[in-house]
Amino acid sequence: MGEQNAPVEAHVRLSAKLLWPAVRSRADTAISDDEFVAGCVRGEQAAWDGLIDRYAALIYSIPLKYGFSEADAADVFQSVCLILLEKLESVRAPRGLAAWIITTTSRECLAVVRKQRREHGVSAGGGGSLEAATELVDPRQLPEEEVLSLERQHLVRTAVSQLPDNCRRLVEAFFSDAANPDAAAVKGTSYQQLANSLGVPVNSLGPTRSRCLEKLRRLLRAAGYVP
Amino acid sequence: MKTDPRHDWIADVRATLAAEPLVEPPNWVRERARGIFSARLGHRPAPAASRDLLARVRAALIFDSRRPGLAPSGVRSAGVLEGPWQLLYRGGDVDVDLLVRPNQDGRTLNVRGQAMSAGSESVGVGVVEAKRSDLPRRLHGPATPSARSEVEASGEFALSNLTRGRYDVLLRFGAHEIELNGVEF
Repeated sequence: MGEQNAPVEAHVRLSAKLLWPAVRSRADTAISDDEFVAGCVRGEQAAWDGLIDRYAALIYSIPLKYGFSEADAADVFQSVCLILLEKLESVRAPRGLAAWIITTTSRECLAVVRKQRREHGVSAGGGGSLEAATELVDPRQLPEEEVLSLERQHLVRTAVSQLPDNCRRLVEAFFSDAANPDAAAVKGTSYQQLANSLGVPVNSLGPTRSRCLEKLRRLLRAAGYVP
Repeated sequence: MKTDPRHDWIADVRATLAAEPLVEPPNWVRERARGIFSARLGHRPAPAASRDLLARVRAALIFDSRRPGLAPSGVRSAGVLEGPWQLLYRGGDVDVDLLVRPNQDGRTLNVRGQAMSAGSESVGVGVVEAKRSDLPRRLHGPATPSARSEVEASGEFALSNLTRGRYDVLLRFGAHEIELNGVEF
């Protein structure tokens, strides 16, 4: 074809890349938890990777909420993943895998705390240091409302990640307005930029956003999210 | 004033997202957890002929440079195949970028492609096959591909001198396959 087509080719490639930025994470699929678990049971590394990607933030956030250090949170993370791997075939979670993971991670956190208390000698009749004891994590179970909040956040994050790329960006822009409701000028600029990056007229964002929100609503309902 | 119940869920999702966000672990934590799978269960690749969801993914066409409004200037409207065009497919977390270039003879064309993973890892070496999907196939035995080529470590591949028509393109990376059905070349 020759060099005269080179500028055309470059424009086509550039247009495609602007329209379709890379998918951000492996979790951006519509694969269910059951399908991931089935894949793991069949010995598929990709299924295990997908499960880890989907639940990583949820598992890691729980020990942090207990006041664990990042190093200890990482240890809890690894322990929970080992338990999950051992019990994959027998996990029975009527409320979904998220609920099972929250319960298991919380139990691991409490087990770590009890172990630390034993090691520091903080028990009935023990002679451990009070200073050391006060540095320990609060051993009380997370409040039920906090557990529910974690679960709901996870369900929303997962549903958003399962949207097509353009929808996800629109929905994220829509919900991020709640964090900056007074910046009307910023909002206008950001929507124009979003329209430009998607290659669509800015006045088409509204109908597209409505369709995307409907997709999100269906994904949330399928995941058991109850407002 | 009574709010529309259809929008109650939006307010609820907003409130959920406004709460303290979940924290992603460092990459090394994630990678360490991934590593326990093969260490605990041993490496068991999926069967090559597997048809399960994770072994073979059907890619969807998400961009065609020939479509009106999206075609670059200088390219004629649909119906006149002239000059190169670009197709972009997405299957799972892999994008397949195809640049189609007609040859001077007007009957054949060359395809340059690249498979790119959404993550940081390479898709790995593999094989790409193109079979005509608009011609009758043999009832017995496997269909012979019209073209077959290697996929390099960079994900790039080339299919040369394909006759114009509709093709099913299959990219194989070990136990993982990506299928592009009904590609018009």
